[in-house]
Amino acid sequence: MPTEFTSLDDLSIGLNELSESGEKDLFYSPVSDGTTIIAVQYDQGVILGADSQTSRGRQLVSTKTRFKLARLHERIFCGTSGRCADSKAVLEVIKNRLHLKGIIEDSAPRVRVAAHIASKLCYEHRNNLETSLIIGGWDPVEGPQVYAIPIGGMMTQLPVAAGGSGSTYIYGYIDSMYKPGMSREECIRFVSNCVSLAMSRDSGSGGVIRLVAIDKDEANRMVLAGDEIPKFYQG
Amino acid sequence: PVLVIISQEVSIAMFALDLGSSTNAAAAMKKAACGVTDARQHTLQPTLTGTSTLGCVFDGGVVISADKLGSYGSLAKTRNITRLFKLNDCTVVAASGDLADMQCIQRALEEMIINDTCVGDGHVRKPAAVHGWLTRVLYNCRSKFKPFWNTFVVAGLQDGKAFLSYIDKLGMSFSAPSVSSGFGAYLAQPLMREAMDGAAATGRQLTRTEAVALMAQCQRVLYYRDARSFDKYDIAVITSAGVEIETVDVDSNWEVADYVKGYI
Repeated sequence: MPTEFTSLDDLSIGLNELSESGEKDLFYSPVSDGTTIIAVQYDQGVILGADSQTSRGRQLVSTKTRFKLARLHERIFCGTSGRCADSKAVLEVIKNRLHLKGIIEDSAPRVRVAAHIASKLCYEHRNNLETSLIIGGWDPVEGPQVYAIPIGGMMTQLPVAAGGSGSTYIYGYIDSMYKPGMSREECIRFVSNCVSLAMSRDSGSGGVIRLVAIDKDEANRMVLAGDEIPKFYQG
Repeated sequence: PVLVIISQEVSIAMFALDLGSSTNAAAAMKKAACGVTDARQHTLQPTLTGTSTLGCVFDGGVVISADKLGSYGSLAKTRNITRLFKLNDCTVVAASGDLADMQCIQRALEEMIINDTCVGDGHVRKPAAVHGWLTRVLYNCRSKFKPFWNTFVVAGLQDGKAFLSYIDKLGMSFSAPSVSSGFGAYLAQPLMREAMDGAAATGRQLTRTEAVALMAQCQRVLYYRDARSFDKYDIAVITSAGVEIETVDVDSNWEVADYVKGYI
């Protein structure tokens, strides 16, 4: 497998060779978030967490410190997984429409409205998009809310939602460790543990843990890097 | 030839267009009635799906049930989905199949009901009307290779008489005393027919209690034998007193496990 490409011809050679793990799409698959995103709602707010790795295929890490928790509004953030380009395109549109709605209604946009806009967009373009979203935020009308919009465009409100390739490895952990009525610190620890466990098992997730803690007063961004990432049994 | 349309906005839309072109009318009907533009794409494969829905008629009403699971392939992704929705005091619709398509139809139906309320003439959209609308929309969209990947069960009271019908993604529809979609068609339908035939043999229909117990039995069997099912389901009972929806846990019995010793 060539490690350096000096011309387009070399790139086309690379196409025909399989990677060590047998995948043909080593460099030419769409840039996709092998991702872990998770959001938890507690009494006063919402905690969103994500990893920071973007991969092409499952082998090449193209970005190792990406910020996946996009800010739709002051108190509304959105975690995306799936194809990167689709995620970005969808986020741009949602952000614009949400902003416009806020101007028209002259008040802070509601999280439910953001989720509805996202769901409608994803549903109407479902055959061209491969992106799944988790929208979490706080608004003065309904308080903290988390909405999951998986691929296909269905919208559902949940107290805890996880998405991305890494999420499959932590459903068991979520089911056993999530309890309603956790405090903010417990939620942050829960989310960090979830992302850390997913990152260690999923080749598509990695890098640092990015957190956003949203409540009435602030949307606080945090990063857990290197030694700060919770450690578990590594075998 | 213009299809019989129930929705008020659609009749307005049709007057506004060239009525000679049936494709225009169909497009307008889809647009006005669905509330979505032609930008809606073909659902080439379902993503988040719901499994069986069951329904049966009893003496004085109808009962339908659907479990609360949204499956993402084999992953049991979301376990609080409500696949039954009450439209008004005489109609309940249940859906299986792709849940995003179900939500699209649900929003369109709810918009229709809100319009009914706003018109305020006392007219209540009855189950046969909803059934007709759903059939036409599903058939129309399928004919354009843009299917709603769902099977709907419409239940309610039509002029005091029990109404239960089934519409699938091809627009095929029928009414029957007991209906089921998905796996339920294989596992639960025979049980429902046996119970109803047993009652018919003694010249009566099922009572409400028997019908609800039949639903519980069928959901239990589905929980045992359908891999993509869940042990919690919503059950709606429609009678002349109105619609009652509640969430019930499946009562499963695993005592047989003690008797199975294996081969060695």
